[in-house]
Amino acid sequence: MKMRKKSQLKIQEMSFMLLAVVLFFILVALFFIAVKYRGLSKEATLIEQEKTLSIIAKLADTAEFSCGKPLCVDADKIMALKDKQAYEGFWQPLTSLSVVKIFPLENQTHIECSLGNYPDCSQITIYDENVKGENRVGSFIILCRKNNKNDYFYNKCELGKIIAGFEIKQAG
Amino acid sequence: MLKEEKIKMINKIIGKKNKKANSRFDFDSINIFAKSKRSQHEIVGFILIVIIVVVIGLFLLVLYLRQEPVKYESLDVQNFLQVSMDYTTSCALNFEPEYENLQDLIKSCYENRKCLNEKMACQELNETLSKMLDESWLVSSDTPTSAYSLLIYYEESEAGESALRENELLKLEKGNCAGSKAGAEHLISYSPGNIIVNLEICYA
Repeated sequence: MKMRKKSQLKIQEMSFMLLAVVLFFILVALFFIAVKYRGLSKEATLIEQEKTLSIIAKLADTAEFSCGKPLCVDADKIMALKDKQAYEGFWQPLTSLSVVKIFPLENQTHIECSLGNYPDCSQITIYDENVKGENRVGSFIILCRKNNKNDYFYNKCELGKIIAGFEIKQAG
Repeated sequence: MLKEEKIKMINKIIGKKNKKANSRFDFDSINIFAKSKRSQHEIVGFILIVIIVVVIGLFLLVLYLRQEPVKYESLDVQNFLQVSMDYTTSCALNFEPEYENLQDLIKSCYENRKCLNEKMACQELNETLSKMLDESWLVSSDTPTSAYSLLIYYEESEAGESALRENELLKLEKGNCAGSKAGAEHLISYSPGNIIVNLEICYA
């Protein structure tokens, strides 16, 4: 009788131990799944970001943008491209596309360029779908235009960024 | 208290009658001390394992925290260096408006030349690059960039050998680096060596 009680106690002890081990492994598995899932969503955003960056680099070298050198954008060409209806479907899968002057920047404010204020402005919005919560990626470019001084035309190049927007992929 | 009385008391506690009531204290017959000793051994073993695991965990944690900031080649920094070399400065050496671009200004600085606006090329380079870096890499607690460091130097070396001669042209630093580092280098050929522009950006 005493022996049976002891064995029962041992079995009980073991079952509790097994339960604890199983619970522990379940918790560890849940933790790993949570970490992996979080990483997956981050990875998806990063891939999308890289894809956009490569699109930007390719765009900067197209005939519509390029000034003849790598990562060099012709500001005069972009002004002509602004709000052009013929290019509406051309910018997919981007949700927005703009060129911003970074340096030198007068008054530290971004003024949208129009035919009236160009070149005394700092931002040329080529295309914008007005998508809420879009992710924006930018790449440094050199923004060149023809300038006139003392009746002499020369290339004035300033530092800028080409900024493209893309929709964030929601995981799950 | 006498020794016999002590034994009687222990036996009373464990519910065992001391039938013989002799002066000998028999550990094996009582068995409680042997069991207690075994439990103590188990507890000590368990505590030892816990201590070892905690020590290993702490060691790994310290090792992880003490790691140097990760430094990697950055496409963004590389692009910045590449495009900034074409930036039109306000320094003209021969006539205005034939302004030097940044790459030519660096060469002019190495040659210790003077711009038409009476500024030395190195002074113009310093002013232009400080402003450009401040505008392009905003260093503050609210932005991802916590620090930057730019070094321009001339290096003369033969293939496969260490630098024969090094000459620092400009060094610009801002902020304190604590996070990961991203950097890139841009080479300007200047016979018989190279002028190297090195930029490191620190992300918080």
